[in-house]
Amino acid sequence: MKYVQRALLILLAVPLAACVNFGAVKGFSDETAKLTSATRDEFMFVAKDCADVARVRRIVEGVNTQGSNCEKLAGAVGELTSHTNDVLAVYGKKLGALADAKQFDYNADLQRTKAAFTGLKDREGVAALDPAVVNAGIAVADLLLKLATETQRKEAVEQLLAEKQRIQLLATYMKTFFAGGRTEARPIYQLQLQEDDSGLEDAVSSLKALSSREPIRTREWLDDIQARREALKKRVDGSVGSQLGSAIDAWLHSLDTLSRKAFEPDWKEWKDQYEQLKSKVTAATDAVDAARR
Amino acid sequence: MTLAQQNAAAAGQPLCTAGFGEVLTGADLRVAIDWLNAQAGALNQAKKPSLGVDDLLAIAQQQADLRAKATGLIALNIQWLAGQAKVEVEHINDALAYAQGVIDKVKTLKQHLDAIAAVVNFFGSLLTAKKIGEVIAAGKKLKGDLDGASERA
Repeated sequence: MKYVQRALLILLAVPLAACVNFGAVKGFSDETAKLTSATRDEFMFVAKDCADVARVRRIVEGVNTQGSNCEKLAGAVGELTSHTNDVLAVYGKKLGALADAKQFDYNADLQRTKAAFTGLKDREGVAALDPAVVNAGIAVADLLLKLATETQRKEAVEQLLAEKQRIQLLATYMKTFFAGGRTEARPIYQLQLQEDDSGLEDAVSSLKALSSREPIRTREWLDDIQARREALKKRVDGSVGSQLGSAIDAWLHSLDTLSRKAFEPDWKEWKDQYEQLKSKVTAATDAVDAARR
Repeated sequence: MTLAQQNAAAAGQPLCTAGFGEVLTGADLRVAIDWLNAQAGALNQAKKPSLGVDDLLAIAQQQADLRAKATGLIALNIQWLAGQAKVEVEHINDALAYAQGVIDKVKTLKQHLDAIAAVVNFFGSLLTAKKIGEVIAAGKKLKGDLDGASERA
């Protein structure tokens, strides 16, 4: 009888060990969607804000900001950040679709993103871009395109999680943009906010000097600038960049845990990691929401 | 002595030879970045209601240039060629100390803005230079421009 019980247990254990924890995959996908939405919103804010500040300074002070960092955000650096975010978002959506056993069709978006990454490789004057990040973006977009036609859920999840290293590279690039990397260099996000605020401060001093000549317009501009500076201050005071950085860190750890534990019956390590991920992503999205209000 | 070192010696700045994989990054240039931003901020003191519009706009443009160079430096990543001359952080900090000495000495707004413009041009070259010779030439020009501003003071 004991042998029969043991044999039954072994028989039960084999398929369990080979199962994918689709619940965990879905949870990870949901948090990825929230996180990439927050990073996209903030990237859009910082890119738009610096263009707005440049416009204010051009009108108020006749300043030509050609060659500024803002142009980089509108150019290759911004494109790389935006496309990297897109690929990570689609990666999360694909995992979610597999977990829900739903159809997945982001081919058109992926083709565009892949072409954009490839375009960055060929463009002149983008030596500052890390080619490893660009190549990782192309490779992951390729895999997602290939998997778009896959029907085997388990194999597809395996392949996506096996792509961990490239995904980590992309997510680390996003983290560096918002919260800095291993070096002491300040993150582009924070620098741009500071440059915008300093530019607005300079514009305020110009307006004050001009106020006797154009009192009404000066007051209008000062109100406009005050509102912009408050929006920037909320982001700096609310540590939006560092909160996003912490959430991306938790996401990276979760990806690592999920890739190791998605096919194992013992999911405790994942559960602990998942709770951390949820809490960090919530803190980051709350910070972004608060800054927007 | 290599050609680059001869050039450097001629510029009055002894340059060391770069080893393999040596880089100059924005993280190394914290002092310069802070200096540029501080100069831009200090120019706000010069914006007085009695100032002519042209002067005001000239100050604003210089501020924007200083801030753009400061932010540009943060992303700087120059990979020196092994065996050729390299510019070190000390050279840049020394140049800024020299520029500060001139700025402290000048008496008119125009002289002040000229000295600032010389520094902005130097960093513009540093950010776009393809060869060490261009950086050395920009360094020589910076010194010449600052000396000119100093003599007029």
